[in-house]
Amino acid sequence: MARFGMVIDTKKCVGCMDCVVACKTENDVPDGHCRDWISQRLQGEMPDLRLTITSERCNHCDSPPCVTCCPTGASHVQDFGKVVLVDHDKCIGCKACLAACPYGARFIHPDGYADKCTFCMHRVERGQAPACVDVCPTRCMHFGDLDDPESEVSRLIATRRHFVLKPDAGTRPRIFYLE
Amino acid sequence: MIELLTTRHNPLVDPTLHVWEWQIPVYLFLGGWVAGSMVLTGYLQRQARAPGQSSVSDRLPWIGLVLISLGMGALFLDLEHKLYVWRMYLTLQPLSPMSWGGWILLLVYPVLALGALAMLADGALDRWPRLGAFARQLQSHTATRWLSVANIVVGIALGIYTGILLSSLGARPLWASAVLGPLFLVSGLSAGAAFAHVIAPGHEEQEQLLRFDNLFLMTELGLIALFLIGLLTVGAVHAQAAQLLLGGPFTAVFWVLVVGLGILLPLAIQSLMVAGRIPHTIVAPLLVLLGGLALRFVIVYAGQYSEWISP
Amino acid sequence: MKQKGLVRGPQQPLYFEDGVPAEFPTPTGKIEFYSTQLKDAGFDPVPRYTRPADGPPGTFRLLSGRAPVHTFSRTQSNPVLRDAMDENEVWVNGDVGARLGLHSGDYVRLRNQDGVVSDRVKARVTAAIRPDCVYMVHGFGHTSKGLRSTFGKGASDAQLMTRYAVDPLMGGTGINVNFVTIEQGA
Repeated sequence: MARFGMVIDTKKCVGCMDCVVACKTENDVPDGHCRDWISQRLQGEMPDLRLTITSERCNHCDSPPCVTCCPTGASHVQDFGKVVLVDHDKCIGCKACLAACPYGARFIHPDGYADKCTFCMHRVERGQAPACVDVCPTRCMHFGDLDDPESEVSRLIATRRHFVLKPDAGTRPRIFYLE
Repeated sequence: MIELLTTRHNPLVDPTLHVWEWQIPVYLFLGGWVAGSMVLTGYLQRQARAPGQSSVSDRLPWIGLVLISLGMGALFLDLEHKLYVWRMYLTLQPLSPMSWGGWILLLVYPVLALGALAMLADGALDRWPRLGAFARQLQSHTATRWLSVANIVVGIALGIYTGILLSSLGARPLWASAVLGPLFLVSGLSAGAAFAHVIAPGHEEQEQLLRFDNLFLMTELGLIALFLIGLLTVGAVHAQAAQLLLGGPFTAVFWVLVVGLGILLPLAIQSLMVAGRIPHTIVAPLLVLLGGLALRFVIVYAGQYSEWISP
Repeated sequence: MKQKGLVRGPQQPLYFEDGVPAEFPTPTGKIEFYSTQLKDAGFDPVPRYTRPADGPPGTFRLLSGRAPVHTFSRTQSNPVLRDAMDENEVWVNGDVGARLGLHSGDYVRLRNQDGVVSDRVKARVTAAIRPDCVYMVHGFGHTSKGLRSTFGKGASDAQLMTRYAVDPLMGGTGINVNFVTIEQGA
């Protein structure tokens, strides 16, 4: 059974926000909201500066706090790809999942339910990559099955130095950043 | 120096999480208050009393029904997808305290309603003879014993769950403490005792409730200390969250409203009342209630403000 | 054409043919790092760094650049791109910001050496810029009220560029030669 994840090369990412725009158009994300975003971490003092740019979204964690806190089971882990999804018709809009996510990856859709990145499951089911991965002009994003040792993402994680966001929050995120 | 810039701008989440407004602290306060009232009701129902002697436990179930309904109304106002609220009751999510809470609230109603029914004066239900007969059955010794057990069990569950509800949301370091469960329960007990003392019909019961309340307030002080010690010792992220209460934006309101006016001052006044040095006043109980409300506000608001700072 | 749908012409080399030594129209026929032509015309044969003139004391050199989100000044009212970036910011060095009591998110106006004052623009106090310069993304500060979604958002760098420098060698335009002061409380 697949376990989808992403590998993003921070050495290639320039923070152009193509992924953000692609997500917005592909998933019809309402104006003023975003399912993915760019973060920039600037370290040091002029002229010795280091900039790390990360394209961030829901980490589809292996232990997702948003799923355990959900009172109705609307937030769930889908069998296919172990992707964390929200069933809009079960969500009551209690916002516990927004508070439980250390990444701030969720928001309330103007229609009232909790919304977030789906890893573009509607595209993945057709054999396509998520929209953000497909449009990236620097090809810094990779999507695939972390449980398959032969997959591109598994090989990148095995061979390159990498980090995840907020590892000590204990969520075991599945988006890996190459450094 | 690390500069962190993000292009994310989601309402309720950025720049700092702010998903819950006044509705949640008000509900947590009213829920805790009702929880405390139920435990006290259960305890007082087990006390022997002379025939015809009335007790505050006769009045509390009615008031509890009103308070819990107000609280649930506030909860409902908070929901963003209101029409789907029935989805809570098609499932029990064993890992979600909020799901447990939904079901506990569903148990609170019948327990309170039965208690209220049992305390209706004879003759009040003359127009509904079957209901009247049922109410008289509830007044029997056995039924009262069962009802008191139910009050205590459901009350403790209600009180503790309101704290665990927050502490299960681990992404908010200020809430990451199981002490919140007992803290909210004891705060609810003290609110319940303070209020019951005001409306208690007998002087003896008033004195008893006052002594209870002082005990609860002292316990609450201890739990607040444990809560802060726990946060300060468990790790950098949590210690930073504790700083919100120990030298940050919520420090003044926490120490002045919650600890000072909500616990220490009423504790002093009520100690003098117990010692018979000053007459009974409703000032102290009012302060206790306000302190309980302030505690929920501070914890809910500061908790949302706290976040995982590591990159 | 009707059968195949397209016709390929014979391939022609764009600049150089494979295998043939390239020739350049220079005295040596090679790429010249040391140009005798430039020397004869009175320029440095090897271009040397010339330090640009400093601005008046207390002013900051106004630098201009682009964000990947927007294309010139044409896309600021596009709903998706506006959502990604809806106004520009003026970058101010962290030490300068501390000296001025300026914080990220404060609105300021810039006044250039010729007295032109910009629209209000958000400050970004950051270590990412030198203390003697400020920087703005080009394309904001639209003046047309009809562009409702972007009118009044950010400031125009071009408005402040009342002066420019011309490279005497190849005629290129230098636009980072204007100096501004920061007016707080905008």
